[in-house]
Amino acid sequence: MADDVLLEVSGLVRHFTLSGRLFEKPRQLTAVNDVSFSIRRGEAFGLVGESGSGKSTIGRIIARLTEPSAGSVSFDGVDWLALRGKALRDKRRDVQMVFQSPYASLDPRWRVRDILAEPLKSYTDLKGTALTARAAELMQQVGLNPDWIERFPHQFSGGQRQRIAIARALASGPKLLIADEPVSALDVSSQAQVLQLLRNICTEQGLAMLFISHDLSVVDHLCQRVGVLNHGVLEEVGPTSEIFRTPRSDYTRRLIDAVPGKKRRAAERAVHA
Amino acid sequence: MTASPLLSVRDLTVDYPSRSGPVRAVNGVSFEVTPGSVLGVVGESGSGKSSIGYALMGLTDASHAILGGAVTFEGRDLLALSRRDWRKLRGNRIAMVFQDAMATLNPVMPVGDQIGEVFRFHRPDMSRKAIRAASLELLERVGIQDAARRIDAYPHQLSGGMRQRVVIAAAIALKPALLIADEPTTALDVTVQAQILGLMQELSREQGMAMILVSHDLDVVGDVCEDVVVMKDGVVVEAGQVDDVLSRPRHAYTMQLLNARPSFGAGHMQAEAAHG
Repeated sequence: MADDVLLEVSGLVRHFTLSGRLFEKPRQLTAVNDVSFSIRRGEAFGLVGESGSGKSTIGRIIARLTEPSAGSVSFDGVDWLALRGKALRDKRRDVQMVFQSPYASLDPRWRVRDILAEPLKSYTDLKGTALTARAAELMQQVGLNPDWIERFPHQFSGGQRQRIAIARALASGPKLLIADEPVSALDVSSQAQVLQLLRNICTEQGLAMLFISHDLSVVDHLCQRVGVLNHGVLEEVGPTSEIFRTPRSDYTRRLIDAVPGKKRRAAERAVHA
Repeated sequence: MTASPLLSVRDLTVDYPSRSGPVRAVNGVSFEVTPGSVLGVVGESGSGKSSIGYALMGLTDASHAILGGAVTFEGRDLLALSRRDWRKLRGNRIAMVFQDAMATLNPVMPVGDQIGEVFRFHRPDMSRKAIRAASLELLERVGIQDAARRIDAYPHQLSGGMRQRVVIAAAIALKPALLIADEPTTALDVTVQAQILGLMQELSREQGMAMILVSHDLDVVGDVCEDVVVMKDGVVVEAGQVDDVLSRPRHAYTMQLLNARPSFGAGHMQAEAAHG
């Protein structure tokens, strides 16, 4: 249903100008080429593609970290790209981001308390003990001991740091979480835990998620719908089970063929079925 | 009967000195590699898997790491080799490919010359012309399109996948008996990863070259290797034939690693719950 739609992206285009060598004409690169898709409330939507496919640029446009060259984005009934100044600052609470590397996305000089307090101060009226209590609650939500709130990021493992980044993203009470390769920098065993956490949080809070990844297995596991990007063009979009079981585009088929361990795992499932 | 091993590692230990005393990165690891076979060494960061690779390549200095145990390669005791002997062996009989091709390659030298360096060092009698011809042949061998033009390109002018192909070309230049590849495809896109792994398997088969593939990815190891060693905290927790270990893991940690990765094609969790 149309009123289910939280985010509607249409005809999104983003050019980048590559400065050429001396005396060479600057070239134009179309990183995102006429991309349209929508995300429903509470839905996990996967955006897959290889490096340079434009998937991160789309995430950054929706997060209003960069501007598109053309196209429109409607979010929760609002002309999202028209927001400016105070209105934009207010609305940013609705769309929060989790980045790939929690080593780069957390300020090493800030205690976890301060990392979580900043969005709480910006977007809520909480103060003093109420603010501290909310920060502790966020820690618990992401499976971290609230007693660790006075620690610095370097005192945590990669998986724990990504939990802190997720807690920070949840602090403002967003409607859409944009997760750009949130587990690619983590060890395999912490990957599974962080994915599980993201899924549980989204289900419990009815939060929609734009999950940007090169990893088809993870997207298959996590997302109801998926869009496949190839050199800025959305090759196909639809329910994950359909796209990955019966791909229509050759590019999607090539991506699927390249998934390691596919044959062995399929054979094992057949045995256990 | 099993073939006599090309490489035999017995009770290998690697200690790194630190202010609070030595840190044992590898703790009594043993395995064998037969000629032409492909062994996977799997583990997470800090498991010691890369330290094994460095130790086998003689890339650990006495000041930097203390090695213990016994490593025999083609009948020679590798832990007793002098630096001079290592220089003759390395790149010649044992070669290595690392994760980051950009860091491996010299940014200010055309890629053809970097492959040529291997010949200039180990085959001083080869003429410049012969070296260039051999380098070109290698670039073609590793599937670089338009190799005659790319031979004079600098690393930054090539894609990540092509750079890794160049590194592989240099590694196999002298037809080593053993290639150690440490996360060779981790920095690459999935489609490129599949191509590079396919190339390495093909080279291994055609040249009878043994490989040790160091990786965090059990699925990659399952696709490429015959045998596998699973490492955790410097210790081998499980070892055996890939099919056995991956389909009937005996150790809880192997199981945990296997279950940590969602299985492609298993479907969506919520969809499953709905249908179940």
